[in-house]
Amino acid sequence: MILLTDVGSTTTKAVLLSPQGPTGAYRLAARADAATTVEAPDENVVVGVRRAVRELGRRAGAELLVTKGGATQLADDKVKRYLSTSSAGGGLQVMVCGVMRRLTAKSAEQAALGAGAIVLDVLAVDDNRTPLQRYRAISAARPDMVLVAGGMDGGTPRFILETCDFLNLSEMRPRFGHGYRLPIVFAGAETVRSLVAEMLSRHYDVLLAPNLRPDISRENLEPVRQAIVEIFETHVMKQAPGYEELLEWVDGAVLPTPVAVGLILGLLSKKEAVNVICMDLGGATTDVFSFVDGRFTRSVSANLGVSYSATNVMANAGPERIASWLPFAISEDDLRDQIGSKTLHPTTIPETVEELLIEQALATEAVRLATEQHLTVFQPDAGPRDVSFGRDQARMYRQQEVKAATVRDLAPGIIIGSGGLLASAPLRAQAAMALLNAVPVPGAVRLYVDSVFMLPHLGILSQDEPEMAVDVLYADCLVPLGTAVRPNEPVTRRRARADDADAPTGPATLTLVATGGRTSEATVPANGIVCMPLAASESAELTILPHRDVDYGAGPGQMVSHQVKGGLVGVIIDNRTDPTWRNGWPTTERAALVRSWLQSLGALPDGWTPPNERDHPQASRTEVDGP
Amino acid sequence: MTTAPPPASPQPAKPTELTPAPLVITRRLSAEGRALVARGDWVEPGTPLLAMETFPGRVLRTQVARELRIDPDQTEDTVVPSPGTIIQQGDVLARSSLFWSHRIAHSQHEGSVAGVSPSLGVIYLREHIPTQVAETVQINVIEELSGDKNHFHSYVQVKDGDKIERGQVIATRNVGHNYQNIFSPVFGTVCNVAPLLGTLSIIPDQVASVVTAHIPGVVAAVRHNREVDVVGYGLIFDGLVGVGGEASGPLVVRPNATAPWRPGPEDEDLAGCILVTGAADNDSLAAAAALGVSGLVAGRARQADLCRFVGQDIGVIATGEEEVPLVLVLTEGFGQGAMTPRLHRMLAAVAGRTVSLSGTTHIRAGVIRPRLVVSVEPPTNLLELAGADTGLAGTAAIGLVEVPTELAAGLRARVLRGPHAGRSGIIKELIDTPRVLPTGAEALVARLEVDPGDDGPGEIVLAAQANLKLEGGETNHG
Repeated sequence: MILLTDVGSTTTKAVLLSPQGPTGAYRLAARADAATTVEAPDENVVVGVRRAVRELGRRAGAELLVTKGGATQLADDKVKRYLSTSSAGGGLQVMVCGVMRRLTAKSAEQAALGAGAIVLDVLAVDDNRTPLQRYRAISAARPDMVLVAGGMDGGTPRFILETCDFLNLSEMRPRFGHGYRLPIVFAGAETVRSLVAEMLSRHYDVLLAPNLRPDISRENLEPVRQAIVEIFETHVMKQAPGYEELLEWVDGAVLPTPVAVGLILGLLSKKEAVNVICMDLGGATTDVFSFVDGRFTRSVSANLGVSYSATNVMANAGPERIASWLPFAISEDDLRDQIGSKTLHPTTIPETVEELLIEQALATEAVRLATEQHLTVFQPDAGPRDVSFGRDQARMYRQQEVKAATVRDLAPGIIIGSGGLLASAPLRAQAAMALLNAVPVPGAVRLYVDSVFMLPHLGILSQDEPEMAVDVLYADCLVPLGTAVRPNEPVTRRRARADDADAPTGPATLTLVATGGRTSEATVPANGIVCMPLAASESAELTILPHRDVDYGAGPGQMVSHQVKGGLVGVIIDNRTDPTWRNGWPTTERAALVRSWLQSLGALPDGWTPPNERDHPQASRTEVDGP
Repeated sequence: MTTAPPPASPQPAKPTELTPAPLVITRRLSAEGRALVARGDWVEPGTPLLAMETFPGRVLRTQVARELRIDPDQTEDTVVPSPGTIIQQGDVLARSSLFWSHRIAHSQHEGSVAGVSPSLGVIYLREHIPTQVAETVQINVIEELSGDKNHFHSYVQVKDGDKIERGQVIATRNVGHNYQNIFSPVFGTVCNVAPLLGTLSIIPDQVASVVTAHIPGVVAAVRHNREVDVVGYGLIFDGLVGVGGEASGPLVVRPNATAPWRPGPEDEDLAGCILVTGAADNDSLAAAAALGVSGLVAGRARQADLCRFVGQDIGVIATGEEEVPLVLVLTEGFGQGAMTPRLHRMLAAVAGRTVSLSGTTHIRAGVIRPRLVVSVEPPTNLLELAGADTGLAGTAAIGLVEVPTELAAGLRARVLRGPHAGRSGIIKELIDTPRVLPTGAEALVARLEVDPGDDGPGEIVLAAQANLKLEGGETNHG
């Protein structure tokens, strides 16, 4: 059997593959998880791994752990191979220092994000902080590494030297590990490299990388990204408590979780010949991975998650936006208390339908915000690129904002939702709804969830067994939800705005012809959703005749056909084109509209009614058995 | 002849949750400073341990190679003061002697030598900022520039709320071809820009130049003029979330009511106290601040009220630096409701003692929770006791009672979430097979006998095991 684990920031997930069936192909035999034990009282990741593996063995009916000479080990006769990935400790946390916020500091931030790091803070001369405040920020931070950039080649970056002096004075300590020096990557002006190295090497491990902004119009981020990944693998991961012990257990290196996910997504993208996006929604962070035109990009949205980071999602999205996804009325105070409580008690689970729907609304916004952040680091090519800047000579050091990429630029053919809240939603349609709401992609896109959190596991397996990994991916990991079809953004004489009551909207007539010949018809109302059943094993042709102002890809009002695949939810036609529905704090009537969408998709439990409509307010309590 | 066995040594009293133990806290400056205490010194909460006279400011540059007319790579050989030496404006910074040509570069600034660039021929000085807390600076722009009030807006280069640096131009007037400038004398924030008066004010940045002990105890170690370990003796009570930094004072315990606290006739003299109450809201916090309360420990408050108290939405919970009138700690979390009766009883048992409260909270890897430290008279061998390998040093639990970490029948637990959230009771049974919750998800549940109270009668309920939090090893209600 093959044992695979992923040591996450909050949960360690273990998976067992064994040969099954007449062909003896490897399939999922069991899975289990346990809390990651990176903090007190255990402070050793192997403790959590052992717990997960013990539970895994219990579920698989096999003793996977044995005691030899007083030490617990894997049973060699049962476990042929053991591989592991890790993002324990919440991933690589980086403090970024540049000179100008919109020039070198921004480039440095993008380099760090693109390397899968969590950016704790960005210091710049124009970050509206005094030197005292910057110094205090440096002193208070506990990053895993620091990225210092700034100064064009030939320039005189006084601010960088000031920052280096602050770093020296503060004697920053790493988060984990004792007796190991914090790594600092310097990717700034050539003229001060030796001075910076000399200044910082007293207290830190200094790595020099090529200037990531050699001049005002050029960026060179790839060498810095690679340096950051290397530091993560060689410095930071090793310092996670128990990491050295974990290395003795595994066959090979422990791969960072994002790297492993990238490997398996690349295989999927090549096999299906489409672009793929995957959102891994965690408790503290949300990772977004995209494989677009053969290029892999990953972003880690620090502080966007559904438990430890719940209040931060609320602060960024706004409670109004979260409430807008709910099919029942709730006061802002109650919503804030619920979400705040989830942050304070991150390992609790929702027991009532309302609590679950609030968490799913939070998940929607976390994925949406993380996708927006992903788009800021998404680049079409890897090499040095030109960046535009303002032509006004008085503002020659200000960079014109490069037009941000949109979800449309990703052009995904497949969207995968991963992470507990999406993968283990009690109703698959709830996961589909969250993805539809968070990532409104025009056109036809197939939706999946990673039902068993296996993407990192299959990723590391794919290094040596790519075919086996893809096999298991389809058979046991990806759950097809179906295909979602959306119109293009509305185009009218004046562009629809959030307060525009004249946004084009209207019903559409639908015809679905499955490959077996079965035909079904439906009408999707204006600003509504319809779900047409189509099994996972079926394909079909969907023909849409939209309202005259609505464009499903062939022009406003033009008939269009899409080839679609089925799934556990079916074919979803999302005809919501009117952005005004979200204005203001949700009313009971607005909640009823949201409820109609959820019901169309089958995303509400049977018999559920909003609290204000119930005859017996206690009806949703857990049933009480006799003593 | 047989002899009676010696009498058995008296067994030490079984520790309870109110048995004190040694506590060790580390206090730290943000940069190297000066230690004011030594190992073995007794300290009180307000005793200064470490101090900084100056604070590192800007890095300033002098083009030495150009002044001395030497090649940049010769700069290092010309520097007179050694790195770190504080020099005054006008002091000799560098000197070159080449045959009969002697040149001297004088420093244009005060500061210490921070670095030399042989490629640029530049010496970098680190400015030092005095850390004494200064009063708000008022600048009469019109008077200083001899200008016209009607042109005030054209003179002033900053606006309300701007963060400015010492030496930064804050107002300027063009007189012919000359510019008259007003430079900021401090690092701070601009406020009260008053065109009618022709003035503006600057609130200087406050620097934490002194670190105090926070708890009474003995200094156990001083490291690098930057860190001090203090060993105290007493109890620690952990909260769930807090804001506002640190405070200390006598502990005053009010009834554990579900309704938010309001001051009564008995609350006239609460200045400097740490107040314990059941629940708090915005009005409670305002009233406490008005009475001069230095810290408030409550069971619950609404998340919205906490954000209003802090003055902004709280995203990532990494608190402790807020500018608020008092330290606030919540022991149960957000929402409406009181403290757990058991915790309230324990705090009531130590009412009147001087306590130290910290509201700093970090919710992520390396979690820091807010704390209330109740200090008691220590034994004479406190330092030895703290250093001995007895497992006592650094004890962070309540007293010495081992608090179970795994759910088990017979233990007291509180329900954190779900329809019975906030209720406490005894676990009657942990059910091994997952049950289907109203959400449709499966989860392991427990049967709990909840206490009667404001939330309802005593009864047997089911709750998800993931939503239970143990309340300590005692099983009785007392």
